[in-house]
Amino acid sequence: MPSTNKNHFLLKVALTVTVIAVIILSALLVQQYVHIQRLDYIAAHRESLLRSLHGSGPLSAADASSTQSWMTFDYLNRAFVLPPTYLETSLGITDGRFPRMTIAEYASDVGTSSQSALMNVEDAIGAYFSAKQ
Amino acid sequence: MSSILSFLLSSLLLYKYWALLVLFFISGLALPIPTSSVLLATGAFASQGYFSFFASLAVIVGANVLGDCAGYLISRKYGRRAFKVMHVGVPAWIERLDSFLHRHTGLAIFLTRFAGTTDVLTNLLAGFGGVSFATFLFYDFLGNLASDGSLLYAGYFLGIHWQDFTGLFSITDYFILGVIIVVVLSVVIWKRKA
Repeated sequence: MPSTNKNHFLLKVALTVTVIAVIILSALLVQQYVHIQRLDYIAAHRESLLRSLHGSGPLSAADASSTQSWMTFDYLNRAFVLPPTYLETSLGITDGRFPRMTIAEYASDVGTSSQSALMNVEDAIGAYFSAKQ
Repeated sequence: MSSILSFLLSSLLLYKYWALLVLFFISGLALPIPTSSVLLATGAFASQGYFSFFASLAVIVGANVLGDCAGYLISRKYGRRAFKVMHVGVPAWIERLDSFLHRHTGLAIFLTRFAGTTDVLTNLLAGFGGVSFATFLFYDFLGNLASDGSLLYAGYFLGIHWQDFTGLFSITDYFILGVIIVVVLSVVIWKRKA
């Protein structure tokens, strides 16, 4: 019997802890909502969000800053509709894995930081769209 | 972004549907993987034409259901036998959760698809308690279709901006998990008092 009471007490403690966690999580949810509201995110991206109801389609020069080091060159070529060898030649990539390699792998190939490689890629994408105009 | 998530997203871009199949099978079977971020990303990639939305949804739901069924069948076949081999009785709290699951089978299976790790535990419990396979499969499929489909579409809708919303969706995941734990603990405590 004492062990049953002890178990019951432990369950009550677990329940209280979980309820407190749920309350904290509710506060975090509200905080996230306020954060998004403060950025005026929805208003700023209303057009592109509405467009994306039918798929956002190819990315533009303005989206180049969203590039991340885990992205592959194959994905970048397809997402920005770049010529298949454009990034290879403009960045001087000689690795045989191109385009099935990530920006992080390219960075380690040329012995630079991911951040610097990312900037090179963003600049190359920007240059492509500038030349196209 | 965590290095695990970066690795998962790189694998997704490199191996596409094969990566989805392996990731969601493993997550359905046992391993806690940040699937909500992967779903948002896949939806965003689909909106840019790198993935097909419906093919992704079919692979994800199929892989998740396969993983869930594997957990269910393993538990159904070896669950009680494992307790016998270890010469220990089935703990009372498992019996209580089992009877709770039998009373709310559909709702429990459906709702736990929305909260990370609880679906794995529900699969094991459903197999252990002998919930019929057809019932399990039906609610598992519906739950996975609703939970995976909604997140995939959210990613599709947000497009390139999906990364700004991963925090919100992760917190929502934990919130649902917390609510489920509160409900289960309340049921167990209330049953004990009664």
